[in-house]
Amino acid sequence: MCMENTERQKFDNDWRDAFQHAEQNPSAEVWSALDTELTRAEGGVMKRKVVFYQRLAAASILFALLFGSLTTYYNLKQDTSVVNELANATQSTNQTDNTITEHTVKPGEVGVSEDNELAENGSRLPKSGANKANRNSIINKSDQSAFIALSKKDSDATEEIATEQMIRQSSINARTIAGISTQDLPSPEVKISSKPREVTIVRKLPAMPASFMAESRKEKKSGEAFWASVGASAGSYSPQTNFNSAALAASPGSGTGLSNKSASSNAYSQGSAYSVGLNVARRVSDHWVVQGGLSYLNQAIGYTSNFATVSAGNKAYASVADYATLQQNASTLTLTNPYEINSVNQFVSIPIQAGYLLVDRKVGLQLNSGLSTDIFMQNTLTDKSGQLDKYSEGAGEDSPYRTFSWSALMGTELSYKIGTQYRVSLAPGLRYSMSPVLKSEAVSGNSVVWDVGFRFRYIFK
Amino acid sequence: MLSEQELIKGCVKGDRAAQKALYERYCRKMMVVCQRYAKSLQEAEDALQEGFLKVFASLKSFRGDSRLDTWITRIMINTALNAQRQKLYLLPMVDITAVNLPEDEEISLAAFNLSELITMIQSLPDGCRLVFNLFAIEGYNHKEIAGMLGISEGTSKSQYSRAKSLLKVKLSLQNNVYGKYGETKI
Repeated sequence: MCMENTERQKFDNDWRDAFQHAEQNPSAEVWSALDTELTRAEGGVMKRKVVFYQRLAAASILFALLFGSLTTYYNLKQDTSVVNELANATQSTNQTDNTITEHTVKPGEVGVSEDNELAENGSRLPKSGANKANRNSIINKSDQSAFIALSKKDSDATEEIATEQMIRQSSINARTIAGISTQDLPSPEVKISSKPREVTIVRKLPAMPASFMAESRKEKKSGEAFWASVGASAGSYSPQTNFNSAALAASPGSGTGLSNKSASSNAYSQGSAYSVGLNVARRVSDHWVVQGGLSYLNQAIGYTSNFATVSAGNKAYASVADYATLQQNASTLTLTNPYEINSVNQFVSIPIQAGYLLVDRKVGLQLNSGLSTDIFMQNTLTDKSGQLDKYSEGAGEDSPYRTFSWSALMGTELSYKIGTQYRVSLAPGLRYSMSPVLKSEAVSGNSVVWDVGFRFRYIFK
Repeated sequence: MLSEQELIKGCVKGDRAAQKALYERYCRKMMVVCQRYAKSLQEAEDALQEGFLKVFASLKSFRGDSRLDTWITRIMINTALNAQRQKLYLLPMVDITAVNLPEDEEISLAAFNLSELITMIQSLPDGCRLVFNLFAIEGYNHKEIAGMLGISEGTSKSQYSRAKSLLKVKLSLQNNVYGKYGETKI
């Protein structure tokens, strides 16, 4: 037995010694295959990281777009009310005269009606409720003379402010319901009477191996290659212009309170925009999509202006500084009381965009970026009160607007597939004008539009 | 020439030059390990490649408790065993009761070159080859081998005996061709 063991140990030791320092060269293919595997493994890690950061970026953009849209929407609402309030307050403080009659083009054509309420002396104005409608601007045309009269009663403005204050006070008091103050209401108390429940978490194993699951994930890809969509979007529009400082030379006032003023127009900080259009897209690789189309854009912004343009036919048009500085003769301008204008730019846009499909399944997530050529159609200025005539300006050499301008587009598209050939999507996006729409460098700016679109997609088989 | 620590740091960072240097330093020795467990050169190279992938993937967990080449060897053995386990699942090892050992004859392995010894081991049945490698060359006892391969201790012993007898036969046959006790081969 002992001999056997000794012999066995010797036998084993011989083999062990034989292989102790043994070396054999593997073929060169081993390292090249290993190198490839390592690269693939690194690529996988990198890819996972890239995908993570891509998704993070997409989520951030989406969040930013939604947040921006909401903020813009609320700011816009707030802006409108604040500007109205300020305009009323300015009118009430600046107008020492109860009624200001302002006029116009040529001496001799200017007239102040003696027998109506448009007079310098406020005491002569009727204060009855029946004449309340006449407290605003009135354009009185008689004896072929042009009148632009915008009047406002000091006392009535004060009344309106007081009314607003009352409304605010009433909203504060609204917390008191039927004589019971909300402070008197009992505060809610939460009592936990039962013991915390014990929860058992059961981990469910996947029904199929991971390798099969990976394949089934691949199969879930949409496989869509070519599609067309119709869509509409709406959002905020910020012209980023320099209108606030646009002061003009206008004909002097006729001894009224505006005689020491200059003509100017103030644009609101934000307006609204909407678009409707058609899009066609084609997938060029697993993740990349090229898309183009045609759409109609409408961008509206509000102004307060204190002047108007008077044509040769003595028609008074709403006007803003960007027109006057470029084209209009200062002698055709006339000072008015501040009034509100809605300025609408209309374009035909031809966008070209590249899209990156982050998620391409029943639910899709796509990042889009590209350029659009915007062809200016016309601008329309409308006096909101309806007292001044609407003014439109098209494209052309004499127009203060550029015919062609370019915008950068960026956005996301979150879509959901319906059936086999349809998809609906929400597309928050940003449109940044790279070339200003106005020719004048003094007032032009690069407009920004944040919008949220809805698209309906038809997928070609 | 990079030190072992520098190589490890480089590999952990994913430095391809360091990975290649580590591979080149140990690939020849590990190739022999893989060849002993594999049935063919192709199988051995596959195990070598897979083993080094595992080495690079888990090198950050190497704490230096043992020598690096010992640690790498263990990974290679495990990788090779995993490859062979699939075969063992299909053709399980059984106890071999009657082992006919050849006539006791002292044969020196010095008479054989490395390739011949590897070929002899590779020609053994799968179970015998694994047990012989683990017992005779790696130094594991039968209890440990039984745990590693999921067999009984008795099976491990009988497989070893079978391997030993087969190898002795092969050595004897080769020895008769080339001569005895390390004589010059003809």
